[in-house]
Amino acid sequence: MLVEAQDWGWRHSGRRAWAIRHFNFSMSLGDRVLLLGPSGAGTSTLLAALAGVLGGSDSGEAEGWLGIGGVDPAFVRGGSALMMQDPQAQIVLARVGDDVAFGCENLGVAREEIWGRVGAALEAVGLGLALDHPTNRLSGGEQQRLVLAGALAMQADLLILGEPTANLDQAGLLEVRDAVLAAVADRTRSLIIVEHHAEIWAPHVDRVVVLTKEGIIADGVPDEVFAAMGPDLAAMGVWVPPPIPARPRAGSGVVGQGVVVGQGVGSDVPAGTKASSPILVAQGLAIGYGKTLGQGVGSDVPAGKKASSPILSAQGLVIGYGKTAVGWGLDLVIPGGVSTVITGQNGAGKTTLALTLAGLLPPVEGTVVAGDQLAPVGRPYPYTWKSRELLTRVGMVFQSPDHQFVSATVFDEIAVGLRAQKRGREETEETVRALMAELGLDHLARANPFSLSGGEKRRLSVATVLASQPAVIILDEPTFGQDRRTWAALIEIVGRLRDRGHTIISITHDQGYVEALGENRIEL
Amino acid sequence: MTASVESNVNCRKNSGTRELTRGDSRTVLLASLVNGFLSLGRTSKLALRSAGVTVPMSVPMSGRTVPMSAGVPMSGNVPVSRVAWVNPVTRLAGALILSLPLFLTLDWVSAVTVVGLEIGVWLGVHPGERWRQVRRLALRSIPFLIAAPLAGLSLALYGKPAGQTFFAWGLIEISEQSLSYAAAVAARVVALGMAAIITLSDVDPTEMADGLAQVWRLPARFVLGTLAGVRLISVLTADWKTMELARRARGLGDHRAIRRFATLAFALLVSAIRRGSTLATAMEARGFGEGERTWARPSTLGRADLIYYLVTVMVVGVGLLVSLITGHFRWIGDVL
Repeated sequence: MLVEAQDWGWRHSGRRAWAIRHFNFSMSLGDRVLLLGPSGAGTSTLLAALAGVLGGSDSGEAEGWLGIGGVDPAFVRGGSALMMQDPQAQIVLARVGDDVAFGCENLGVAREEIWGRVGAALEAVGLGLALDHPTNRLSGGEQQRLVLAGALAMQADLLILGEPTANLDQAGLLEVRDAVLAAVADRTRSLIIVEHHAEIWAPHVDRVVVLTKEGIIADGVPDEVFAAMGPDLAAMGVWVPPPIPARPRAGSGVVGQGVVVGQGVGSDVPAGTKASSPILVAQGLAIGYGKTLGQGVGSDVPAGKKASSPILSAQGLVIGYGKTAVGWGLDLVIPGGVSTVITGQNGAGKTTLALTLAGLLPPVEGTVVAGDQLAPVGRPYPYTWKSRELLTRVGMVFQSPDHQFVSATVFDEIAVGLRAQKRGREETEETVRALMAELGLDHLARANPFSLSGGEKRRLSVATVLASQPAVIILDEPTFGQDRRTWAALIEIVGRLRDRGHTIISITHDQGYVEALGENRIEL
Repeated sequence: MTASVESNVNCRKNSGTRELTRGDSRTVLLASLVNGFLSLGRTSKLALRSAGVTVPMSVPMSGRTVPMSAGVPMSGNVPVSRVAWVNPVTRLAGALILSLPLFLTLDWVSAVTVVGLEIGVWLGVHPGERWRQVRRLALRSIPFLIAAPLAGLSLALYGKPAGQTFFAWGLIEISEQSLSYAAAVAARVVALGMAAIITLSDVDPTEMADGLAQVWRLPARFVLGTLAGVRLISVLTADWKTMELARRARGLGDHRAIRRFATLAFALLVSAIRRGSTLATAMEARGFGEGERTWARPSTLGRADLIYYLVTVMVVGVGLLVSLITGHFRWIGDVL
């Protein structure tokens, strides 16, 4: 047995409840196990224990036995390699090659061998970058692959992955999965994965283990476990096939899509949607930080595509950073009252585009123009608006909710925008209560925003934007890190907003989200 | 490109026998955050990465990082000054060698001579168009050029008077001697500043860490903890930027700047703690802090380092010699 647990448990110091208890488990070298469980079931504690990073007796109290190869993981150096969520926080060094080499160095691998391993690991994860490529110029997906490469290079017997594909677009996700599978293909090492997206891994693992607060409630081959427990797992938030169906617009049959991929991106609006004048128009827009962009690339929107009722458009848009333009000549038009979904590969500049459209970053070249129904009279450029003027016009839900929290309680957090608008106290209270009820946050009114779970934080960040009722709501990767349950709730909420007449612009790489809400689709 | 890299140099077996608990690595990270803030400067150009956005970051690269014998691809030749062949720890030592005599003496001749030589060295080691190099040096010297007259002023007004007195009012007495002290201090500030610019600008933090650990044998735990902390700072700077944008988006961007700053600072602290402990865990999971360690990048001393030491000593020596010969030489003790 490579991994063996006998009645193992762990209680973090200062906590009364055990994070995980009565855990009995074993796996042999070469086994691949998918570990599922609702949040709070102790999966992350288990992963930390297996990786030997739970800490000593000052961090908590252990009971029973957990061992890798018969040794307590805390004392096996390089016995296991761990990859967690949030790759950005796991990158140690400034250059790609150095970062991959870091683990090998710590394990005392000889120099000549290290660079061989680094090259092989980078190739395995499909990260075709130079060794001295700076690690702070990687997209989320590249970061994730870098961290995976660092884990692979350690050549540990046990590879432990905690939500390894959370940051990735569909293509990147499959690439990382295949890299992992290739690394364990010869069965000389074992694999433990914790992942909400069970459907990605299920066909490739030997066993599925379902862990809850009550302990392991299922352990068997994937087909049997899913057949027996599919609905239960879905209720826990685990993604099991079949996927959730799209959410069509209420009352409107036609949901079209206009996608033009290439140098220029045009978007045209479904024929069935009501004609309205554009809310935002961006022209010759180049986005980025600083003003160091090159020439705008000319766009060629196919002549046959007519742009009806645009809301926002860009021409010759260039995105980039530093002195290197990585961007596209981009024409884009956002129709009012419609849900527009912007997709694109990791690193395509989606977030920069969102921040620019939201009037938070100045366009480097060109303009973002808001339609008459949106703009204050005579001032069509969102970036020139005051913060308070933005509030009721364009709302932005940031990718990481933590970045937008400013208050000590959930209630105050939602009230921030209303107070900035100097709304009355009663009106504020009423609006906040209504929003908390609608988004399932009412029991958390006095909780600190930073203490919420991932799903709650996301709903709160949406609530803060909704409070001031902006005409346009921009969401950056809204489903990032959500389990199936909170995902479905979010789709519901955004769909409802769209039905109420808000213009929705979503940046996403979530295929399910695109199917549910991509009435108008733009691919970068 | 890697002329000074010798791949056959033994890497140092680190004898770190002490086990690193997580508490330890956190402490190191926290300490390194502080270090990092002090030493950052150049790195503060940031990446808005937490939002998934990348922003420009000019990362200086030199060829000495990766041994060519490993047969690994490098991303093209980046033109760097000849100083890049010198091990960063040698450059650090050079800064100390240059500053020590300047701290111990106080006369304008030695300082001015050193400044002149420093400019000459700068032009000598930085290839490319001369005027552009002079401009670069001047731009980087601006803080010192501002500080120098201010430092000189106090000595001009309050320095020990001697020789002809030009002006006196209360405690203030501007004399021949106090003016010469003032000139000496002002020239010194510029000389020290330029010494720091020449020796330490464009030092790559990773290479500095390699040098400190392998050449100077500082504890790997401390050196690498600091290095990781420095990297974390650019991440935190990006967090800060994103949070500023978020405040504008939430209608808080117009007024109450102080209050906004306070909430930003708190949010950044939360973020720093979270990121710091994740990083500590990640480092620990990759075997950091226990037992013997190898080094993927050799950090060695070579002929370039010897030349560098010679030039540094020469600059200081010539400065002192000129002031001795011209009779201006003065110990700092004579002034106080």
